[in-house]
Amino acid sequence: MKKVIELRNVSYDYKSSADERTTGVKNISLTVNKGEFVVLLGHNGSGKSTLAKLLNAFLIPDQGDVIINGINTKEEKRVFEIRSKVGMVFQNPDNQMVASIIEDDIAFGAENLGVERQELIRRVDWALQVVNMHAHKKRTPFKLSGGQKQRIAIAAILAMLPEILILDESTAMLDPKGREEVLDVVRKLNSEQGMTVILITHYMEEAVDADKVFIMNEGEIVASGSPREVFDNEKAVYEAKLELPVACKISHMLKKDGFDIPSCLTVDELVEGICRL
Amino acid sequence: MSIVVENLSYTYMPKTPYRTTALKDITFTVNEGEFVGLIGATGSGKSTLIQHFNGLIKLADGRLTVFDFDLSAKKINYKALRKGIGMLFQYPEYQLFEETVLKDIMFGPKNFGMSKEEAYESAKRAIELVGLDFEEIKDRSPFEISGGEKRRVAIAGVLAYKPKALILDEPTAGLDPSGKKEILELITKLKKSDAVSTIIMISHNMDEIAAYAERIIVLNNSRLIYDLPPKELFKKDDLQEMGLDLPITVKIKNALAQRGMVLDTDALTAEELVAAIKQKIRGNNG
Amino acid sequence: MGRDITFGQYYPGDSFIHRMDPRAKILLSILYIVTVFLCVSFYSYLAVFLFLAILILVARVPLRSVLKSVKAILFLVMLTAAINILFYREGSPLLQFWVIRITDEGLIFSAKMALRLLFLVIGTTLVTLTTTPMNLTDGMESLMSPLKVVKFPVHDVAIIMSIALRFIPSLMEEIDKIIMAQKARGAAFDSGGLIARAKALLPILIPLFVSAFRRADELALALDARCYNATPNRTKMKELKFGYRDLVASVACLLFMGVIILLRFYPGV
Repeated sequence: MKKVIELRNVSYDYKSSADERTTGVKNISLTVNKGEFVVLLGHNGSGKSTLAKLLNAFLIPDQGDVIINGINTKEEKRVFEIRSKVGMVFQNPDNQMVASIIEDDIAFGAENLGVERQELIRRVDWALQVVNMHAHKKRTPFKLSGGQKQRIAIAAILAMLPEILILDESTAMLDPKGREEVLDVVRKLNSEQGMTVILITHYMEEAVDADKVFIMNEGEIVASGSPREVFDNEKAVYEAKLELPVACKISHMLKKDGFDIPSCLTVDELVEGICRL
Repeated sequence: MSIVVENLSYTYMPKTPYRTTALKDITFTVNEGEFVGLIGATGSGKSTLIQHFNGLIKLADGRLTVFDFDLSAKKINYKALRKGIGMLFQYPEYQLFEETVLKDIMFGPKNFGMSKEEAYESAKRAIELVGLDFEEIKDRSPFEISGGEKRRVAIAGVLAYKPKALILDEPTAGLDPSGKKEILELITKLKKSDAVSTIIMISHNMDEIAAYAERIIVLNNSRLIYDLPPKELFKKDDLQEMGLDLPITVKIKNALAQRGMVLDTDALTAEELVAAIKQKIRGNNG
Repeated sequence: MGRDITFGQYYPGDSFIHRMDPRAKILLSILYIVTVFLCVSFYSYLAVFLFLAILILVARVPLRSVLKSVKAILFLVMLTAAINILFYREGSPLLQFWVIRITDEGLIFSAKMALRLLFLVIGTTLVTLTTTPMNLTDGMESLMSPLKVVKFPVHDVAIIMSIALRFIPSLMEEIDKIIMAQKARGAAFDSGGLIARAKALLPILIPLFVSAFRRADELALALDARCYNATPNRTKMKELKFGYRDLVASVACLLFMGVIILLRFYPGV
């Protein structure tokens, strides 16, 4: 498997007092392979956004190395190469749009990369189709729902043809419907286009079908592995000030009461488990 | 009775091509001391409805009585009305503006005519109510405290003028699980104390609403569809058609029923559901 | 969100004028302004009126939206007209009292001035009604591009304009929200003297600035994430191209200007 992201003993500390509320990261090592769906969990201020910013060279580590597709983020001249490969979608859908017409906004990133015109038009159409917003191409984004706006933000990144998509709490401000819309698009990108996805969130339910889950607390990775492995580590989850998905919690409760039920991640698994009792 | 809504309708920009109906023929009552949940998909009219309660939107059609105020009257003392209704909009921390936390919290009390001393005492009490350390936080800038603290300060800023009812629009939006839990615990604490008696809460999170509200009002396409206690409401099978989620416990119960395991329960919490499952299994086996 | 946030003035459509190159529209509107200033006789004003009527028909924009912009400057028009009527000195007096002297020429002059103002506003409104702000920005960027030679950051200025346009509706919405929140806390914005009122604005302005800075911060990250300034050879999806429409429109405008100039030699009324 091809490693697309590799972090070797990465530390970063916000020295400037202006950012004293932001947690840095300490001694993080991890790898992400091509096509993986990775979820990074942590409470607000656990350092997960700092980690995201290290991945596309917004921040350069104080110690250790961040290697993206074989390029070290310390190589200043290749910053844009990294950023075009590591697309990043942020939390507030309103503050990521630069243009007042959706298609112009989608084209912006690719235009910055100097993509030639015919290709630009193709990419904009393609990206809007992927996020299922093609009907809105010529419209303004103001009247869209949060979920729709966030899908536009994803399309705007897709038009740069990134290999890795990072969603930095991009679902945090959405209602349940909007969150589901965004997650559907992201899951589809991962399964159909083989896009490597790093989803940063504090919604535990979003982690259940990930390939890998990392839990961060106080700037460190405190648990990692498959969703099942991570959620079985109940202590780490609670220490990181997070909650287990409800289905998981119920299966644990039944198990404690002496029922022979495996640890379940989803409602479906739980129902299956209960019916077998 | 604290809030009585009768046949309330509202249209934005009436008599123009842009007119949109926001509320249609809404009738319900909120009694003193109740905790009422208000749910509905985005755009169903929830915000328009609550903005009527303190006169931010002027009553156009129907009748509305909020405590002693008849909002269809010609002359309304809005200040007195607003003093009785503490309203917290989404992301209330964005309304903070003063140099210090204390000054910001005293803004409301002073506007509503309290003397400086009264306002100070009231602010102090409010800060303590929301679980912050008065001495530690009072002189700090509201822009330099953490996100969770900001939200508490914003809540304190409303509690400080001692409203009779508290209206919360998505009080946990954007918070992480522990932040959510803290705010919900705070709301429960407020409800139990004599700080506020009546609470109306808007939320998209059905688990929260199911756990805290005594009664839930459902709006869909500008109309009131249901006004029921949570256990009754979540038995209805058309909530998802209205773009609403179900509490996860209800989802589990429904999925079990599909597999032939019908639980005789209206459980909403994980604990209740586990108890019902255990009973069912033991009943089957024994 | 009670207020409908119309986006700039743009009225969506795909008429002949909508589809013209924004640069042509900007240049021709300058030509139009010059032409209006060349008008002397009432015949020429009539010609402008007819020209505008045709343009409105061709643009297929509702008269209502055109009149909306007229309404916005109506006060200004009436004020200048009043001043002109009251203080114009030439001509034979029709009415005279105290320092005021209303003359026939004064009436004619002020009527022409008022018409001129109205025509200017209607003409330029037609450009903003038929061109998206984005397109206008693009047009201006392109027209200003010769300035790149003297190191003027034409593209950055264009991006700033476009972002400003993009964020105006968001900030308007934000103001609405803040006002509501502070009103709920008992703030009053319409009582007291001037100083009290100015002070009452602080609870709105401070959160607004804080929010604007937060947005700017996040936007800066989003711009970086989308490789802003990655290459000097930035491309554009929407290429501006002069087409047959622009040629036709230019010819029409020049003809119109010719008519107005000709009318100068036939001083009628």
